[in-house]
Amino acid sequence: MKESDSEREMISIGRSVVRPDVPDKLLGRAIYAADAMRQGMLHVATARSSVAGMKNIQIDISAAQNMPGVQRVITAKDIPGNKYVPLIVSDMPFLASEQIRFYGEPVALVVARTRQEAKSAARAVQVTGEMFDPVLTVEDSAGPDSYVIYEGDYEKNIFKKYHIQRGSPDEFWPESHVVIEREYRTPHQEHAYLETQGMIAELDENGEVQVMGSMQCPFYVQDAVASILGLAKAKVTVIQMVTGGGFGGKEDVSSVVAGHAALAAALTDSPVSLIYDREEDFIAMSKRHPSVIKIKIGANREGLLTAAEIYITLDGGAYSTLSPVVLWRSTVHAAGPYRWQALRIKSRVVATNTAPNGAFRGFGEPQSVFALESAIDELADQLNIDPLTFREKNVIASSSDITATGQTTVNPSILEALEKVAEKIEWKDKFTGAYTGVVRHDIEPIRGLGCSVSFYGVGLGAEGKKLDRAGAFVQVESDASVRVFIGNTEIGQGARGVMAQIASETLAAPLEYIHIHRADTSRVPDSGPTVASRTTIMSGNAVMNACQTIRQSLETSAAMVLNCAIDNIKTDQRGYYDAANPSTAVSFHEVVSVATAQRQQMSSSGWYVAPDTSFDSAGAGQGNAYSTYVWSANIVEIEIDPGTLQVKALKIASAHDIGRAINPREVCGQIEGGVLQGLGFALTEKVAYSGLTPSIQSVPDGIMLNPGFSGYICPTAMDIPEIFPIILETPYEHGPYGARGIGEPPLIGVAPAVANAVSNALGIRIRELPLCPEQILNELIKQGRL
Amino acid sequence: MSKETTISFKLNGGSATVTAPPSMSLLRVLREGFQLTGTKNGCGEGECGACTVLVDGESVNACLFPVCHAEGRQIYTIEAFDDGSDTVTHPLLNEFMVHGAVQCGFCTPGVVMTTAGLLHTKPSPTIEAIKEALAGNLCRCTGYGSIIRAVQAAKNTFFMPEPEPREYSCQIAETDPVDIIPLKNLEELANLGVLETWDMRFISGGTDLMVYKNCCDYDKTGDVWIDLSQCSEIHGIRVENSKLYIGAGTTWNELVRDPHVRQYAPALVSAAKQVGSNQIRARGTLGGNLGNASPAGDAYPPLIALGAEVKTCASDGNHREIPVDQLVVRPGKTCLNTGECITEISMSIGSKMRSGFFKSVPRCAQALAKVSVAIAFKIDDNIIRTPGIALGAVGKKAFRVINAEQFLDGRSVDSPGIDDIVSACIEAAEPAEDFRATREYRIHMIDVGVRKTMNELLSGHSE
Ligand SMILES: Cc1cc2nc3c(=O)[nH]c(=O)nc-3n(C[C@H](O)[C@H](O)[C@H](O)COP(=O)(O)OP(=O)(O)OC[C@H]3O[C@@H](n4cnc5c(N)ncnc54)[C@H](O)[C@@H]3O)c2cc1C
Ligand code: FES
Repeated sequence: MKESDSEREMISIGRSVVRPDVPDKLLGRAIYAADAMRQGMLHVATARSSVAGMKNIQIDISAAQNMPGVQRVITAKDIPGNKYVPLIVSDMPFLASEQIRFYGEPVALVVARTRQEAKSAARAVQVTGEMFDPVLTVEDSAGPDSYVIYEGDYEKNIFKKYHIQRGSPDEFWPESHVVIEREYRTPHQEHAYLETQGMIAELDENGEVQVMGSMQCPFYVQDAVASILGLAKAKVTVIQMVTGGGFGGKEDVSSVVAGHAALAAALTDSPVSLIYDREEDFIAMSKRHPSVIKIKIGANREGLLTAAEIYITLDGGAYSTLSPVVLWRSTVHAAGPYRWQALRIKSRVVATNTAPNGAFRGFGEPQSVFALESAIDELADQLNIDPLTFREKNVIASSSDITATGQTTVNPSILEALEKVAEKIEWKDKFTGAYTGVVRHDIEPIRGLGCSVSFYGVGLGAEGKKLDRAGAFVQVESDASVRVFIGNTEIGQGARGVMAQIASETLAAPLEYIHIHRADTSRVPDSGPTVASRTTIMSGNAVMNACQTIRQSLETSAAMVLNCAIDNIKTDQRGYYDAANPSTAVSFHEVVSVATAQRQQMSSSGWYVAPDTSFDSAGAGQGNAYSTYVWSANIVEIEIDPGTLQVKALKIASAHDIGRAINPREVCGQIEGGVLQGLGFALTEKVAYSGLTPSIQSVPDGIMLNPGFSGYICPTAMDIPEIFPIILETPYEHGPYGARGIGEPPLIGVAPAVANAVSNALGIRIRELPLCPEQILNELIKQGRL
Repeated sequence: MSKETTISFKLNGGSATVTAPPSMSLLRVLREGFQLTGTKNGCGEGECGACTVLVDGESVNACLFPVCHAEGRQIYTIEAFDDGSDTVTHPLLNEFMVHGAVQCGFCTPGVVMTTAGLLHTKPSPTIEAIKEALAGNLCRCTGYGSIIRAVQAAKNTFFMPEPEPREYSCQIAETDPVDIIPLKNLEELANLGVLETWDMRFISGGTDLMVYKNCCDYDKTGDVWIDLSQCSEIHGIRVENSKLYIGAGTTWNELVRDPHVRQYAPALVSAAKQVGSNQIRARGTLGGNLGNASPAGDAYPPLIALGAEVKTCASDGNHREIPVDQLVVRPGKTCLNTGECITEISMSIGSKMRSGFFKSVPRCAQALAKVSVAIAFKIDDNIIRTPGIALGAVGKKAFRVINAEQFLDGRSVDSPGIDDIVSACIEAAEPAEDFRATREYRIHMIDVGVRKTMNELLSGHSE
């Protein structure tokens, strides 16, 4: 494209158009995994462990085999291929055969005529063995007597460690005016996507396998299916169906579901459907890693930050799955977007006997940001500086400032983001000191303001760079309709719409001509996972790349029709025109007819590789960790009920520099949704396990006590604050039309902003999520304020 | 084991006939029998609302709706909005589209049906009413803002779609663990024979029983359900001889709307308003709540405080009257005999009676009580008389705090001695520590709940 974007009126980019997937979803026509039917289809149910820890297990399937409708009961020994789920470290068995390492671990699959029959029979599978005391906390994990869940490159029960060192923090402590040391904790968070996991698998007459279902990462699923069946990947096709939400929860663990479905289909030679019910989805699927983070930070008399020492421990659950990369993101962002003179970050992720934790919107960052942004406020408080001013003085603000890994960034815009949110919530007028008096039920509700800043490296970064590429295939049909295949998935975030807008813009085609196909591993090469807010950049660039090739054909033909030089061709809403004679234009449709008749190339594949990144993991952990960052700021206004001590968020302003909003309304939708999920993390969401939480039932330790929506409390429509999404657009040079990504950043900074607001309201610092009224009560009791 | 039954109803303007086990959920019949897969299954517990459909204009959870209850009713599903065009044509759906109210779309059909139910009865709802209506529909993607904006934009333009009538018919042969026996009236109870040979339950709205069944909790489900919903004796609300009579089959929504209940039992109305979600309130009944005997059941504290009793009918046709505070023997178990059901709840009323209710919850809707408090009394010449004070969710059952009542009785409104009432309540409670709340918090909530309710009841007094 010759003209720069800013000079030209955009055809589709920057418009709040309606997404193409929406009408079918509204009319109930969209087919999700549980809606699909196949001729002769059988149903699979998973038999699961009812305890969290057991050695030398025996699995008795005889009762299940004799139940009505049962066609086959499958255990690990029936697996023809690899028995472990292929991930970073392949330690998780598809089906447990020696040990049970978490409550709900799959031990067998039952295939039956109906789902009810399969479920009933699955409950009849018996597991016996030697129970052991499950390890439930990160502290226990390292203990001398704790059960050995995992042995790898490090000490017992450690999946992965990272280390970042820049300068020597110790030199700065003596000369700092104030130094604080604190510990922060966060719990498991459940994705609670509305559609549970589900897959359909079938074999064709050539022995090729097709798996369709609810997923974020078809290429991971393809790996898993090929692996469990011992088949060549070329014989495995994975197609994503309409997916009812993911948030990270359908990144890695969908591979297990798909592997099971494919195995059942292969062993029964029938199409099968495997749909999770809500309880098993809660019990056995991944969660956000709980964390314990110790922070020591200091500042000098001028209120400038000096040094930071941060120790992160994440609870990885029973198997390593994606824990190493979650830990890496957590580590790299742990020191925040601040200018430190020296810092040391040490992190590790450990094994416990709980469901394996994995990807969840933010990928390790919400934990470290909660800790740091709380600590920054605590430090500001000690220095007696307004926390917003304190951040303004210390954030990365120029292209010469460096991050924890020593990376400089282009146009960091946190100051602008802070200014925007402060204006929206009227921080300067409203921010006052805490109420420190007695809290009686009949006083006025107590208000407070809190802020936070964060930055988010878009894409997989240096530790995931092998996967950071994406393909696309675009074909313009003779009727000018355009089919586009991409390798990333629509999981509700609006990817199909954004890709259609990018293709429309690049080809100068009307938006309604573009048809984005569902993700299909046989049509597009491995494009990596749909995670890390990377789809707009990666698939967007790949689509652009493919469209640019076709556009050359179209420009050639347009130049002929318009009788001008190719270099003179420009496009706008009308189609193609001669810059020297802008009043006449030929429509896209017309140009396509001509180009097709002229046998021009009307299809192309596209490819995009992320700009290079680096991280010196064996050394001091320095390098250009990510190629670009989203800069964010949040301000939350809350009210605390003096009776129930419940925190109610009234207003949240959430600003993010995303480069370019391809569809502003959908960006706002990501911000609103992410903020509310962040608010759930802040206030109410927590998975409870027996042994950690008292229970009235007498159950063995390690049982999930609230596996459903009645015990796990997500926000409803009545719990929402007023949310003000604010979009900043400092273009990213490598982004399609300048865009970065937006999926995750809105969730990340909410919880610390709420914690800071609680502190501002009541003068109480809560260092553990969720910020439930029980904790506020405890603090008030300690302070004698009731 | 179930006998299949044939059930006929109106579906999306057409007629539907299904032969299936009677306790099968309407959700399964729609999806598996009629292939109407627009209605989604998100939890099977009535919590997420993805299965919301309209039954006689009210939004209900199809997962908790036994198909036999569909007989003769008018049901609408999301497919009613699909007129076969390429895109949406109905103005409500169009507002969803242009406001970005759809992301992953899994909650969407349920959200649309809830909204349709709202706009159908209230064409121009306030934002608060919209949020309240939507509280039974979880959406994890949008943050609800865009949905609420879409509904606001659709105000005053809503009409029920009139799809081309179709005939639906299907047969689902399945052995179902539960059989349902419908009763036309209570006299038929006597004809049922030896009830002791069954593990029988009565079913009213099914919002508890269907959850147990969907979650395969067969101890709680039993194997035969005797369906009371058609018995006229358990319906209706009336005032007679200074007593308020409420049929056991009265739903929470009916309670909230009834002028007598509003006048004489505000504590019960307040409890009813806070039960679950609109979908649950449309189906759940007072009798079912009492029959379920949960320590956190919201009907108990207000009824105990108001001095209510239940009237029962046994299979031999005999009746008894049991004070509500003596109904429960342990969690999940009432003192009713096999084959004995609650038909009516009654309480004395007086124009000077005041009552109030407090429920401590982790979120604004769809929540089980951490603690509940109900207080009732009348004021005669500035003196508090016949007080009732009851607590829920802080013991094996909801209970009356006799010490507190004795203390309050006869005190003047100017010095009711609230501190002592609070102490007596805390003393009487046995709050548990579990994942829903800590013991300390429950104690504090008793304190706050009693004070708030007392203040509320006394502050209105000078009027
Ligand atoms: C999502 C959700 C939210 C909920 N929220 C709340 C809440 O906030 N507060 C609350 O208290 N409850 C709540 N409930 C529980 C339930 O909705 C109520 O207890 C409801 O009132 C039960 O009435 P039902 O008619 O649906 O009962 P059913 O399911 O029909 O019956 C429940 C029990 O009562 C017995 N029974 C029914 N009728 C009679 C009768 N006439 N005589 C004797 N026994 C009888 C049955 O045998 C069964 O054991 C909720 C349930 C769900 C699914
Ligand atoms: S749009 Fe995904 S749950 Fe509502």
